[in-house]
Amino acid sequence: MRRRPSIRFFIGLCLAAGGLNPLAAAEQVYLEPEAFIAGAFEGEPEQKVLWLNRELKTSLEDILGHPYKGLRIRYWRKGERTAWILEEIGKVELITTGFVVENGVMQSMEVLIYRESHGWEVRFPFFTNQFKGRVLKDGKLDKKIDGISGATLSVNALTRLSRMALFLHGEAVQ
Amino acid sequence: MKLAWPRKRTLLAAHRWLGIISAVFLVSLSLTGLALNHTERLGLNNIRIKNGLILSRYGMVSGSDILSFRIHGFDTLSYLEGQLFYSGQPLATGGPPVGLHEQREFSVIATIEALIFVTREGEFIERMDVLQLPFAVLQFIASSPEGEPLLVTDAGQWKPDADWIEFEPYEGGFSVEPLYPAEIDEAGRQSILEAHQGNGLTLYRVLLDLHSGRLFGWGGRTVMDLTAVAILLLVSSGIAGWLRKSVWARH
Repeated sequence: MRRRPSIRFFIGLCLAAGGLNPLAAAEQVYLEPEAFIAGAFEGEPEQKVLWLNRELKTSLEDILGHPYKGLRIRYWRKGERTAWILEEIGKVELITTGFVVENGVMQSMEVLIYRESHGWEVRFPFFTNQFKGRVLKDGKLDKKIDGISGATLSVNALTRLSRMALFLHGEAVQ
Repeated sequence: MKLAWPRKRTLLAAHRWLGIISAVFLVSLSLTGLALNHTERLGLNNIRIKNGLILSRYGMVSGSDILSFRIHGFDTLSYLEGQLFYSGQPLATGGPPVGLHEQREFSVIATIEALIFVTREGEFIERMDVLQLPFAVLQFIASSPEGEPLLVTDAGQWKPDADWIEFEPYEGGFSVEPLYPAEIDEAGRQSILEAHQGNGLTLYRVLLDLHSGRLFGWGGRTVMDLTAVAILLLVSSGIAGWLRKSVWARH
């Protein structure tokens, strides 16, 4: 006689489906910040902090569209190359992103930790590669970044952060 | 075919039991309905609910859930549901404090998963997540026999430099710097609660949800639905009893 699937089997199936569902994921660590910094430099970079005076905070507010909460920002530097780990809210959660800038030119950008339920496509290279080679021109990126349907808020947040990273690099190396 | 009327005893019994069972909920419906109809006169929107049990039904917290510690002499560092407050004002997101180190330029608050830097005036400087630190769990802030700050973590003890930028392993004696609990006054408690969850609940909201049964979630709504059905059945059984009496009287 064939046994009918038990209720436990169905509960297990539902739980497994929930675990596989990308929408159910709360926080996705794609790359540990430490690993990002290690990969950004050849050799050991120097860890530094940039203290924000009133003028810098005003500039950051212009870039982000809201006041920046904090008085100092940590960064890593070796020669003219700097790395920044910055955070900005996409819709309701913070997106942690790593930027590498050299001589005012964006070298790479990577989404390190994504916490939103939607818009995680911004971590893929087809999107992040657009930031390579970008520079600041009159406070804006020199080339328009193509968006992703359904991830507009995350795209906007990362675009703001990339401008912030380029701006901070300029302040840190001057 | 002739429709047979139910027996008088059956009808009466059904009517009686339905009446008794639904009476409790009918009283609740009537009283809350009356109050809601006179919201302005009774000022229901101006009365705030502070009861912890009711607040918890809405996923809100009461003032008794706030943890507070002394910082910078007379200021307070408070924690409520993943948020830290400095003298009643939101400071940063984070877990409950496990350590505090005060120094001249700035102070450092340790939670299990982050270091939070604040000025002596309570202004937020920076948050350093453990993902950026050489350990995963912060346990305490301690001090070395020379009086230098140390971090006690799951990966041993670490000594920060003067700016708390770099950390190096430390082996040696240490004593834990304790956190000193503080009492916050009612104004401070209200300030934290307002910052955390707005102005809270009005009596109008609670009565409306009690009226519809939503206050008790899915179960409450179902009970109120059943009460509504019971009223219809009471009306039907009452009319049936009356008709039965009339038909019998004609015969």
